[in-house]
Amino acid sequence: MSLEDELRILLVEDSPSDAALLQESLAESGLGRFKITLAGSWAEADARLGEGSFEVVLLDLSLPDSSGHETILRARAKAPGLPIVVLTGQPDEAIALEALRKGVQDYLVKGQADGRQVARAVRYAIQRKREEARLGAFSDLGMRLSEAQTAREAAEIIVGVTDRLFGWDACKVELYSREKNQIYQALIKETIDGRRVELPAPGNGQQPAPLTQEVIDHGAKLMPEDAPAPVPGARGPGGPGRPSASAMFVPIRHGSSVGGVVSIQSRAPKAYTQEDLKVLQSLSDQCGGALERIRTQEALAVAKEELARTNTMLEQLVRERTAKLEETVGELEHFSYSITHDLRAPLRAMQGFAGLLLNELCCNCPRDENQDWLRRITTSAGRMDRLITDALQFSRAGRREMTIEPTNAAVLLHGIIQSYPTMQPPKALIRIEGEFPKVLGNEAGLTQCFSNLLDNAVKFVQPGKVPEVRVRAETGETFVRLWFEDNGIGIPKQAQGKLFLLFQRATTQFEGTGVGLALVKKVAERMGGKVGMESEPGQGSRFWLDLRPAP
Amino acid sequence: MRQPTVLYVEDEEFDAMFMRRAFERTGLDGSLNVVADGQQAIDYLGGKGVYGDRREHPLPAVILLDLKLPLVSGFEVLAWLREQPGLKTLPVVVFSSSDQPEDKAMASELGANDFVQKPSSALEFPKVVERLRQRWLTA
Repeated sequence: MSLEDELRILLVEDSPSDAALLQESLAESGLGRFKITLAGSWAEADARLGEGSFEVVLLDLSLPDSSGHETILRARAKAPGLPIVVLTGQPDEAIALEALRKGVQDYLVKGQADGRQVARAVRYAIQRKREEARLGAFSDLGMRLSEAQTAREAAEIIVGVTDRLFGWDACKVELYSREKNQIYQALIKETIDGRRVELPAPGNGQQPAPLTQEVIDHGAKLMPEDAPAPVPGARGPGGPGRPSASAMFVPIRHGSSVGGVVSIQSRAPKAYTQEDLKVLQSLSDQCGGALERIRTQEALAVAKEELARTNTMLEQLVRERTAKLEETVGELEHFSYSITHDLRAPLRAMQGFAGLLLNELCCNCPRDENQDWLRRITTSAGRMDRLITDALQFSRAGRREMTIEPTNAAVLLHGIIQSYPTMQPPKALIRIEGEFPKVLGNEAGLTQCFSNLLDNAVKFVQPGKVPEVRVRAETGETFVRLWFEDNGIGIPKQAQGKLFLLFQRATTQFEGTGVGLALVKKVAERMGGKVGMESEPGQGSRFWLDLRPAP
Repeated sequence: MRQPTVLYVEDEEFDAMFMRRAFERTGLDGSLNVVADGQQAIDYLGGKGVYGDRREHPLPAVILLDLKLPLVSGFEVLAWLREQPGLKTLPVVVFSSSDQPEDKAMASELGANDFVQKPSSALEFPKVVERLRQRWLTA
């Protein structure tokens, strides 16, 4: 729409002579080309406003079917976007001011205004209305954009405002990603048979078209007469694909970067002015920040979704692995159960048969050597049985449920000594010295650790020497260290590193399976503790067990 | 009067053999009946099929029950037994090489009267028989 085009005026006037007079003075006014549609009553005006498009309404307030303020209110309600110039019969400031308050743009006193005055009033009214629309469009733009959650919603707002400001036959909002040099169609709308229709985006992730690229690189572009492309799919009076005649392209700027391009096109030539272009540019600039925010939000949402997907995948993976692990553990459990029963049965039989031979057949056997061999069978079978039992105990120590709670180590130590005669005088002298702060541990686990350590301490001693063991506690910053110090044979340096490994033995001088210390280490670690030792061969060993103090 | 009998449920041939010997040594020979799996134990106790004749297969005074058995496990036999109206009070001594507290707890929960761990040498079976005699076979 432009002032150079034919101006369409709706004249609402019940007096034919007044109407004729006004037409006459307008013709002489130099207003340019115009076309007046006459309505003699409010009912007629109402119908005309419903069907036709006008640029301005000249409104007599006293009509046969409506009068005064009522007429103004009706007109405003019927055509909120049209400028209205009120015509009054006599100069009445009060009525005029009231009319202005109700939103009309100007008023004229019939018979007193000449053509030029009428023309000026009409022009000003149109311009004022346009300013108003512009201001209105801008006033809540920021707020509405800040509420938009998606690029499409923001584009929807832009498209609506451009329509109110300039009018269009086609409108397009494209988003631009500089990093990828790609275009994303946020929204394309077009007028088909007088209705706004949204068109599907022809394709996302494409490179910008040459014209779009030009706008991105060099800024806004006005094409008053020769729009480059047909309005896509247009089916106006000119038939499908009728070219649009004018267009505006502006970049959506945010700081120094371009986040997209807004373009509107019209079938009418010279539909938009340089001034329109500036307004569209300032409108687009207002959208830049909002689009940037939405873009960040959307990127964040995509990242979050990706993260959630990865999480779900990981959880699934963990579930699968756990299930597999549980299956393996179950198999192991079954395996050790079978070992307990099936592997030990033949050993029991071996010991039994060797014993039978020894007791019943060789009683009178002259050869001692035979008896010795039979005893060796019994001993070996017994040793194998112990190995199996200990290994099973070790593997169970890693799996069995362990509740960790404040435990009194001294009480457990005394209890162990009382139940083993080998740990009591005269066979051994174990002293439990000083204070023992409560530690965090599992009672069964601690009992196992303590008895293994004490058992070793009284076992690995030179024959003929009475084992002496000292047990005491030392409070560190984060640990309570329990010391087990003996007067035993000590441990060779080269054996110390492997001492806590399964089936590792430092000496063959004494009975043992090489499981005891490995078990202590495993159980201690499961209670959040540590185990270690210091030893000089011939001077005894000092084992320590670090445990967390009870809170 | 007949000696009270013991039903020994055991799939290990040699264990059964040493147990027979131990019974003979303890002067209880003739009072041991052995079945080799859980199903046979149930059939025996229910007097089914070949076990129909109670003169030949009398109800035992005590059952010595291994846990790991083919077909029907010792636990299953125990559970079944405790639901039979005429048999639920029969004393059961679980006799297993298991040293797991879970097995002991389960046996006790299912109504076992005693839990004896199999000794590592079959030569020690007479001790087990002695324990049986003292606790369950004296009138």
